[in-house]
Amino acid sequence: MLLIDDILMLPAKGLIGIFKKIHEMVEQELSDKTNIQKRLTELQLRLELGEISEEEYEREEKELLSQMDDAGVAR
Amino acid sequence: MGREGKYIYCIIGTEVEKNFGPVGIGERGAEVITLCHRDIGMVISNHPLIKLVVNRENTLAHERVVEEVMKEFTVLPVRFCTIASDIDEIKNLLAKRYGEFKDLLRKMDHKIELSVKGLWKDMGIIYDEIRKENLEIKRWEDKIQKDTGKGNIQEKISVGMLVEEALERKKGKEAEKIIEAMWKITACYKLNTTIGNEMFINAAFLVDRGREREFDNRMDELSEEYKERIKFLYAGPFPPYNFANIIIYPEEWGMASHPLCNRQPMDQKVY
Repeated sequence: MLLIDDILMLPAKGLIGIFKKIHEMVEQELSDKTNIQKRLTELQLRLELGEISEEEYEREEKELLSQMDDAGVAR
Repeated sequence: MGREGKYIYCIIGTEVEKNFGPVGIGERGAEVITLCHRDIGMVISNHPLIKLVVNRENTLAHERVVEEVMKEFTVLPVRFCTIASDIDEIKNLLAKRYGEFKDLLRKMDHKIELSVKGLWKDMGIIYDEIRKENLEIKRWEDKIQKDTGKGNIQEKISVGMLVEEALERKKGKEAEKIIEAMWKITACYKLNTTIGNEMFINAAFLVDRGREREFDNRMDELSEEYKERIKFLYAGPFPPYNFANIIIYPEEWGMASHPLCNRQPMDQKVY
């Protein structure tokens, strides 16, 4: 019950901290396929924002697509 | 090497068969040509009948062709990785869906798509506003900060959900302001799913080519007006991916004998 423990440690951070933690929990609940697609979308956004280079994008994309293969998820 | 097929990029209104050059998807640099039925044509190139990986390299190769064709024609983009077995399949499909394609070509005539994403620059400010706008959240936060015990997990979770709901409402309200500023100069718009907590709008606008400059200027004004608060990602012109993305299912070809990969829709357009 790691997540619940995490929440128990949170009171000092207030509601926004709890909100963020819940957000993370929801993400962990997503299926592999949805989660990887979501991360691909976020990766694309980071490229658009100029936070990562084309090379970094391609490297991470390759990694995510291979995770999708490993998970046996059809693209 | 799989059996040879015809990779489809888009549909255009033309009765003249045309060659767009050796810019086709794949490593071979296949010639991109049109194949016509009456006064509409599909823009295609030779490609093996295999499933393509949905990565940036491949989707960009597809989009580059559609964007090249768009310089000269109104286009109806066809979804990435749609491959027909042969010319007859394409001609049959054009004949079967002729009315629909003609109608869409008329609607998309002289139109372009412009993409606008808006992200809050400082989430600290946004969460402060949420506290001020939602007294219930503020009260709970004060209570939780005093509570150092381990109780009331359910309560804390449901209050965390309240924050999430408040953030979604705030996104909607802020998105409305942007739409309000733009809708008079657009033919149509579509709101797509936002990415992450910072993004409050992810919109595609269908705009008449003649009004692109006006749209640009309006975006400049908005960027200036909200420069402290919002970072805009403004891009285009694109083919009308959000308004006329043509999907062709294998059964429509009349011969379901090839391994078409577009049976599985992409949940969202990543690129």
